[in-house]
Amino acid sequence: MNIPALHISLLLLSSACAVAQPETPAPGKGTDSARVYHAPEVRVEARTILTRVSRGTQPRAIITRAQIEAANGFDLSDAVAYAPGVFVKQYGGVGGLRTISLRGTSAQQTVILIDGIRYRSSADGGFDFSNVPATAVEQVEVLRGGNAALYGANALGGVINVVTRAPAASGMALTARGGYGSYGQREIGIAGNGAAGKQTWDAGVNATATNGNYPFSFNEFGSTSAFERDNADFSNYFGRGGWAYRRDDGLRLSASMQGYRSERGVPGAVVQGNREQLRARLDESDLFAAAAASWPTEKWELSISASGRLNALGYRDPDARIAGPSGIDDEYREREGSIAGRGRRAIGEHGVAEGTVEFSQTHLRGDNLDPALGSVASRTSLSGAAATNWLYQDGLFGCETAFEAGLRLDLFDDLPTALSPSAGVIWRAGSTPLRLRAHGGLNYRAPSFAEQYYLNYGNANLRPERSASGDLGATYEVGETFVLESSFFMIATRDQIVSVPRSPVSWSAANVEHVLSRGIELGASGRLFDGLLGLRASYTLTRAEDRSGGTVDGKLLVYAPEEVANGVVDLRLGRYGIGTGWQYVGHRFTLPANDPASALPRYGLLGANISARWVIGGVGVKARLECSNIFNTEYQVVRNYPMPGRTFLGRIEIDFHEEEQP
Amino acid sequence: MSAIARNIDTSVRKGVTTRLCGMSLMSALLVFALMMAGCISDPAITSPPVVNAGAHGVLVVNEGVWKQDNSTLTFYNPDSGGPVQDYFAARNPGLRLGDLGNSIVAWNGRGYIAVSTSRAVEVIDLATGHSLGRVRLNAPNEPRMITVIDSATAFVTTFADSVIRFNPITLAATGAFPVGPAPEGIAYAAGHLFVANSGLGNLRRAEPKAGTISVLDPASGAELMTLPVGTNPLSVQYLPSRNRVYVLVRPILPDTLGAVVEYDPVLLREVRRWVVAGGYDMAVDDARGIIYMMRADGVARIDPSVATDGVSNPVRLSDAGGMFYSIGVEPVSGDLYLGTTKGYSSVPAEVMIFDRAGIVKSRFACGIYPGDFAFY
Repeated sequence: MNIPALHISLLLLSSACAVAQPETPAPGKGTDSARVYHAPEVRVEARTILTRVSRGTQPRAIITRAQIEAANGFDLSDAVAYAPGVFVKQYGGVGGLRTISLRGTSAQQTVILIDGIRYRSSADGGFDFSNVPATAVEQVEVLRGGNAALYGANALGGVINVVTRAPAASGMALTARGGYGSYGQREIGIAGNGAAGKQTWDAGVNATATNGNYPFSFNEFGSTSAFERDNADFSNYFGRGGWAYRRDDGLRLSASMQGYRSERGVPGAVVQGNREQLRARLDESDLFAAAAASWPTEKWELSISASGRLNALGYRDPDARIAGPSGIDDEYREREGSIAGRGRRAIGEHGVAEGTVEFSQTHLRGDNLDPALGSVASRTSLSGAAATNWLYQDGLFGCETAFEAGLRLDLFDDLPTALSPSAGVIWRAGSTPLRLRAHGGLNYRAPSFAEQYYLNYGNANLRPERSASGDLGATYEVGETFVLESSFFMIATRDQIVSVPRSPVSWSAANVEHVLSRGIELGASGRLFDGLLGLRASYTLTRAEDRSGGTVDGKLLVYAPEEVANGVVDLRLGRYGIGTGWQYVGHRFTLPANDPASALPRYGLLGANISARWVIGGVGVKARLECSNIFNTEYQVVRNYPMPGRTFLGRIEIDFHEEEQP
Repeated sequence: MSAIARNIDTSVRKGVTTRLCGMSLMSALLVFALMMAGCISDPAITSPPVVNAGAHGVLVVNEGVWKQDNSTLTFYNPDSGGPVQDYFAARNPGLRLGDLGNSIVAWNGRGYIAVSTSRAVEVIDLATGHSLGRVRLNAPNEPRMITVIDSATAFVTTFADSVIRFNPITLAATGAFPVGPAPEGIAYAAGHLFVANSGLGNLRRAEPKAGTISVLDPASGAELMTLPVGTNPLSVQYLPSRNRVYVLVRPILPDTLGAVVEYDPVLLREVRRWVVAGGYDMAVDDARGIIYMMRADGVARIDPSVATDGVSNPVRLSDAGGMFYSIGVEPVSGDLYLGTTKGYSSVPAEVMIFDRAGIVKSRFACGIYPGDFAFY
C-alpha cells in the first residue's frame, strides 16, 4: 500500500468509526457515563498528577500490570513500548541502554514521573528504562503530546508516569518470585504491601541479572559467521518502599523511596573487523525519595511535596586510548531536590482551579566537565503555574463540553525565562459514546548539563528548545469495556539541540535544528467476554522531519520510524493464563540524508507465555513460561547493535494474602 | 462445557459480541492488520553499476560515520567524468570497506587503504578495483597512515602508539615498533622513517613524546631520536624535489595557531617553520615543489623556494561555498582536489577541483566525509 492510500484509509477509518481519544482505561462498571471523561478515581493523590486538573483533552494510554505480564515485560521499557506513539531505542538485549522516543521526539523531550512526582535528570536529560524492573511497576501511564504548562520542562513529546506496586486494600500481601532463562537471565524478588488501620505500606526488593552472551551472525570481509555478544552482562538491584497515612478529616501523609544499583558491560557497535568497548563498564547508583502531605479545607485542598535524588555514575573503558594509556575512568555525581506547594479548589459544581509554586536545585560534579565550572554544574529554578478546568453541561445540542487551560512560568539562574501556556477542550454529544477533543500548547526543554558543560562538547550558550504542539482526536466506546481511539498530532520544535561538528576534530552541541513531527495514532483496548479476553492494539504513523533548511531539509530524523505498531492479548481461563505480545517497527534511517543504504529494515517480533496458578493451603503458587522473539528474528534497533534471537524465561511466583482482622 | 465456552456463551447472550460487530470490529481488525505488517516498505537499495575503471583516475576514501561501518571509495576519471560511488563494493560483490577509512596510498599499481576502526589495511588493484586482500591488525591497533618503502617493506601508524611493518606484496605483518602517543602521519626519506606523534591534540598532550616526530630506522624499527615539533602534528609529507620532509602541526583551538615545519631528513634537524593559522590538512606538489595547506577559510600555498614567507591563498572558502575537509594534489597537472563536507551533516558530499590559480575547474559527488585521495 502506498502512503497516500494509507492516509486515505486511516482518514476513512477515523471518520467512519469515530475511533478516538485517550486510551483511557476502558470505563468500568459503575462509571458515571455523563462524566466518563473525568479523571478516574485513584487512591493515592500523588499518583493522579496526569489527571489532577486535566479533563482528558490529551490522549493517554494506560498499560496495566496484566498487559505488562502478557507482553513478557522484563523492564520498564517493555511496558512503555505498548503505548501508541512510542518507539523504544534499544542498544542490545536485557541490560542494553534503552531510551524512548514519543511521537518522533528525542529521549530528552519526555518527562518521567514516579508516582506522579517528577524524576529529574539534568545531567543528560534522559532516562534509562532498563534500570526499573517490570515487577516493580503496577501500571504505566503515557500521556502523549506536549504540555509543559502542567508538567514542566521537557514535556515536548509527552509524559510518562510510572505507578509502582499498589498497597493492599486490607491486611497484608506478600509475593516472592524467581526466574531463570536464556543466556543466564535470572531474577529473584520479594514484595509486600499491606494496610493497618489508617496506614498503608508497600516494600520490595528485586535482583535481576544476565550474562547477555547471546549469539548473532555478522558478515565481515565477505563471509558471514556466528559470534557471541561479549561484555553484555548486566546486574541490577532494585528496592522501594512506601508508606501512607490518611486521617478521618482527610489529612494525608505519604513517603516513598526507591533506589537501584546496576552494573553492566557496555559493548559497542559491531563493525567489520572490530567489536568495540569489550571492556567498557557502566556502574550506576540511584536513590529517589519523595514525601507529600495534603489536607482539605472547606474550599481548598492544600498539599506540599518534596523530592530528592542522588545519582552516582561511573564509566570506565581501559581501551579508550583517546583518553590516554589507561583509558577512560570518569565519575559523575548528581544531586537534585525540589519542593512544591499546591492549592486547589472547586469552582462551582463543575470547575477546578489549581495553583502551584515549585523550587528546585540540581548539582552535578564530574570528571569531564568544562574546567571553567570547577567541575561542578548547578541549576536553580523557581516555577509558578496555574491551571483550571470547567464543564458545561446541557449545552448546544445537549452536549457536554469541558475546557482546561494552564500557564506556567519558569525562572532559571542560568537560562532565559520560559512561559508555557496550554488549552484543551473535550466534547461529547448527548449520550453518544463518541468524544472529540483538541489540545494545544507551547512547551520548552532546558539544555542538559551534558549539552552545556561536557568537556570538548558542551556549549554554555545553548538556548532552551521551544515547541508548539497540537492534538486532535476522538474516542469511541464500544460497550462498557472496549475503547477505540484515534489522534492526529503535530509538534513543531525550534532550536532543537543537536551535535554539530565545529571542525574535523571537534563536535559541539548547538541550537540548529527545526523539527516538525506529525502523525496519526490508532488504538483499541479493553476486555471482552466478561473479562476473559484482554486486548490492546495500536498503530502509529509518524513523519518526524528535519526542517532546518539545507541539504537535509524535509528528510526524516534519524531513528524516527514512520510506522510503529504493537498489540497485547491475554486470555484468562480459570487457573490458566495465556498472553501474547506483538511489536512491529518500520524501517528507520540512521543517517540524515536518508540514503536507502542507511536504513535499518523493519522488523516484527512475537512473544507468548503461558501460566498456571494453584492455591495450596492459602498460598498461591504461579508457574509461568515465556518465550520472546518466537520466530528468532534477526534485527537491530540501532545500527550495528545486534539484538537477541529467541529467548525463554521460566518464572515461579508465590503469593500470600492475609485479610485484616476485624 | 469448558470454561471458555461458558464465558463466551454468557457474553454473547449479554450482547457484547453483537456490539462489537460491524464497523467497530472492522476498525479493530484493521488496527491489528496494520500492527502485524505495516504499510510502508523498506527503501530499495540500488546496487552501483559495475564499471571498468582503467589504469588512470582518482580514488577518494570517504570516511563514513563512526560505528556505521559505511566507509566507501569514490572513483573519478577526470577525462571521462562521472564518478562511481561505492566503487569498492561495486567491483567486489559481497565485500565492503568497513568502518572509518582513513587514508589511501597508491604504489606500484596497488591501492593501500587504512580502515581505522576495522583494523585493516585493504589492498586493491588500481586498474580493476579488485580486492587483493588485506592486512588484519590485532586489537588495539587501528591503522591511520601508510607509507610504502619498497616491495618488501611498508609501514602503517596505529592508535596503539606504534607503527606496524608489513610486506606490501604478501600482506604479512612483520613487526611492531613503539613510538609516541597517537601517531598519525608517516613518511620515508633518506633512509629514515618520520612519524608524527599527535598526542590527539589536547587529550594526550601531556604524555611523553606527544608533539614530537619519532625518527625510526626502518630496518630495525629502532627509534633513533625524537624531534620536537609542537602540539598535534598530523600530516608528514616528503618532497623529493627538495629532499625535505614537511610536517603539518594542526592547531588546537583556541590556544595554538598551527604551522608547517620543514626538516632536513639527512641531518635530522628543523630547517624552517611557517606559522600559519588554521591548517587542517596538507598536500604537496612535488613536480613544482609547492606545499598546500587546507585551512578553515581556504587553501594556503607555501613555496619553500622563496626566501620570504612565501605564503599565498589561491583558494578562499568564500569562493568555494563549502566546508573543506581534505586536500589532494593531482601530480601531473598540479590541480587541487578539495573534499567538502556539506556542513558536517553526515550526508554525501562533493569534491571540488581547482587549478593552481584557484579557479574552479570541475566538481563531482562523493560519499560521506571525503578524507583522502589517491591519484594514479
